[in-house]
Amino acid sequence: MTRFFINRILSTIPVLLGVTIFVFLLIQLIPGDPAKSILGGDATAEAVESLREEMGLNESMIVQYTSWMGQLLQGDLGYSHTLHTPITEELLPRFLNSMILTVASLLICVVLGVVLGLISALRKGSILDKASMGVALIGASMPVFWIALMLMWLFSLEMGLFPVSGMYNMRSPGGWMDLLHHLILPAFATATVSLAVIARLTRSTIIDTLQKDYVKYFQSFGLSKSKINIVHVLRNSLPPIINISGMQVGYLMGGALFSEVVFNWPGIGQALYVAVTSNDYPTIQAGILLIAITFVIVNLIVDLLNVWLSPKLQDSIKSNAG
Amino acid sequence: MKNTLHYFILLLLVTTLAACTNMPSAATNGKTYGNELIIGMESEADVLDPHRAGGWVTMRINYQMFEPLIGEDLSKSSEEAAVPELIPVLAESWEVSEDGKVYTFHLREGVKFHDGTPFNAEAVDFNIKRLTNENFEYFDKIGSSRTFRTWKFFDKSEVVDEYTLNIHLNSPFSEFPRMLAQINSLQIVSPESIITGGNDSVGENPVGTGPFKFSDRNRGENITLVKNEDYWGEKAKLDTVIFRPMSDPASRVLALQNDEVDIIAVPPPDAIENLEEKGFDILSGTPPHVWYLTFNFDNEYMQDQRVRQAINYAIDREGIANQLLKGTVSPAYTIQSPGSVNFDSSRKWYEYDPEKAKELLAKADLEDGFNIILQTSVDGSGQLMPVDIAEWIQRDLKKVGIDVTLDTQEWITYFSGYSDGMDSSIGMNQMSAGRTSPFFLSMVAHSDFVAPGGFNSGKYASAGTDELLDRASTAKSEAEALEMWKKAEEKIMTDAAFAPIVHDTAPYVVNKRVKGFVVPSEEWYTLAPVWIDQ
Repeated sequence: MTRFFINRILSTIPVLLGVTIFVFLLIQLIPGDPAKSILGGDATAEAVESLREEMGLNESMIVQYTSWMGQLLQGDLGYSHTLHTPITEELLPRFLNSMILTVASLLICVVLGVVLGLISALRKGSILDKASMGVALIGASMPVFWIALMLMWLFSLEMGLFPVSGMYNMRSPGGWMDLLHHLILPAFATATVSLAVIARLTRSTIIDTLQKDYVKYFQSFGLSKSKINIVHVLRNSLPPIINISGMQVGYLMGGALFSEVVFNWPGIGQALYVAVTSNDYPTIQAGILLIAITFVIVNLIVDLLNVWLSPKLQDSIKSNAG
Repeated sequence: MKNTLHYFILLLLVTTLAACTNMPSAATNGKTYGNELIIGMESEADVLDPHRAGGWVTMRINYQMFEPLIGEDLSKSSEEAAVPELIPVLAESWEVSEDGKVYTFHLREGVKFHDGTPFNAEAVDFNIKRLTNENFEYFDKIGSSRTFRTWKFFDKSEVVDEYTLNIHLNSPFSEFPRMLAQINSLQIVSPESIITGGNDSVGENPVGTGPFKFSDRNRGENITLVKNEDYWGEKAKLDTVIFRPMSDPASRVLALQNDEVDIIAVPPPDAIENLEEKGFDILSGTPPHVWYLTFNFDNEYMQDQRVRQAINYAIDREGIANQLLKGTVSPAYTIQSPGSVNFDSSRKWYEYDPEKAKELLAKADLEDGFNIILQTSVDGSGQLMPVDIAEWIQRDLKKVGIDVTLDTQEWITYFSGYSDGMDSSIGMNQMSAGRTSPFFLSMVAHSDFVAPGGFNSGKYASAGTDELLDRASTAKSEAEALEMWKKAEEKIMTDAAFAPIVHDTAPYVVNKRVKGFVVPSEEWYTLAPVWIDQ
């Protein structure tokens, strides 16, 4: 087992290395010259050239890549070209803000999704089932920014319950309650689509599991229905649900970027947009890298979680190793 | 099981509701307002270094913290003052020598920077050197490049005594005082702050002399300024100003309606009527802005003056201004931007006349029409709704037989390629720009600034125009300069080097609580006289 875990963790290294190369090459595709965008449209050719030299943009790509990697390995993301501040200082808080939004929406879509799916599956064919699956279908078909605007209109303008922008009240910033107050709408907007996906998958998985022979077997023993449902059915339906939830993290991070724009959530999406518009290469690289690393880590956690939860998988790993 | 489920759902509902009621109430519910002003900006600001800053969004913030020697009076709206009057700011007075080459500034005494260090001639000299003297220890390449227009005729600066400074030019430059009043010019930064933190530190720690001083900045969230209690002039009425970047127009409107911001910039044209009905003030002015087409002089069709004139006649500017953009802009009949001394709104070149356009095309043997490419960005600072406007132009030109293909690019690609000029297959591109200085005409039409490398993207070059522009720039008297600018404008418009389309009126939507906010004939504004009516 330990060997499996170590192998699985080590296997992320080539992936991350590949990501750095890919990110580095991707940057070269962005149109425009960073030196020129720093100096402005009227800069003289000599000024642009001397700034390029200073910024190391005239070095060969291999030299640029290795020096960037060298910095990275020392935990240094470098300095922003346009802001002249350490990227870590700029990007990490923004990244954490995005994570707050992503994690909140993940919680919403997993908890509500599984609960809705479970209820629908156990009450298959009932009005409750039809209603929640209908809502799920509509939810899955709505673009995030549209949901966001609708939520803002209904809950903020019409009902006056929630604020529509930012993380804190600018007039009198509060603590974490203020944050939570600002978080609810964007988190729901981000979560809607994934919530629908998870609810539908949970429903069909549980319906499948309910058909299994061992469930009937347990029923014939006269085990209580709730015990079978919670202990056996849900437990055995977990792997696909965990898998899809893990995959939704990527989708949620993407959706969070839309919510960030509409709700003015100061996350990494906006930071990256500004970096791209000003050709700030080091910041773009660092931002994409952070997101990619998060992705890899989430996938790793999902894999390990599945193995840890499933005796079947553990057995097959043992026999392979043996 | 059924019961457990029901309990669970009930619990969920109750906790959600409880959470909602425990939350701090939304700003709308009986909130008292402090003495702060929150402004929803259309995008994130760049560097808070007045010499380095690039966009108007940033300049509107820097303007509150930094001051020039000579400024513009922005306390008057466009209606009160079509051209912002030049006023003494950090210089109490100034005079220019007989030959127009030496400017003497008598500086204001007793002014202190926000860090407590004194303002004097040495401080001004330090700032000038930062922007002009490559051998100076604190020379700033970026600031120098961004402010180069001010220094076009600069020779040297000279500290006469603690509060007197001379600037020597190598040629008379009639627009020099107006150039000093622009942003991206000689705003005075505390030398001490640069010596302590280095050139790169100004953006994070801006120290000026203005009515507001920097408090804090969280990127993506806020830039907060506070009142400068030690200001030399009339002190600001607000205690705090918060600038918030809000790039999505629809959510800017919602935030304004939900009382989370007090002023928003660039409202979507469709929302304005509704906001006015809901009791918000819509304020607009005539800032120096013109949205225009630049004809490509490398293109075979565009080399014909009659074709350029025909296109000018064929475009229904009133329709674009009133139907498409719902009156948030006014039709433009000259390339000169409003807000400058030679701008005359009653002088209209090329009013809508499609018949005349057809005649001109017939004279050029093009009555059967031709195909042409129009390049435009899809968004960008000051660009309004570029694709919609371009499509309108496409329809208008179709009516006189010209088939326009649109080539659209996103803003960064577009803008970084703009000063490279156009390929000969391209007929025209578009841009929006402007200055309260008539020197703007030189920027767009002088052969010195021809692409690649200049803002004259169409490569219009005319010896006659150059001469008029040069005589205007180097005129010794204002009257003479004005006459020359007018002649240059006449020449450029007759040559039809451009097709001006619309002038932005820069609407701001303002909560009625906010008093004293004025949109002047400038791309930025002053917040010093603004107060909140409690």
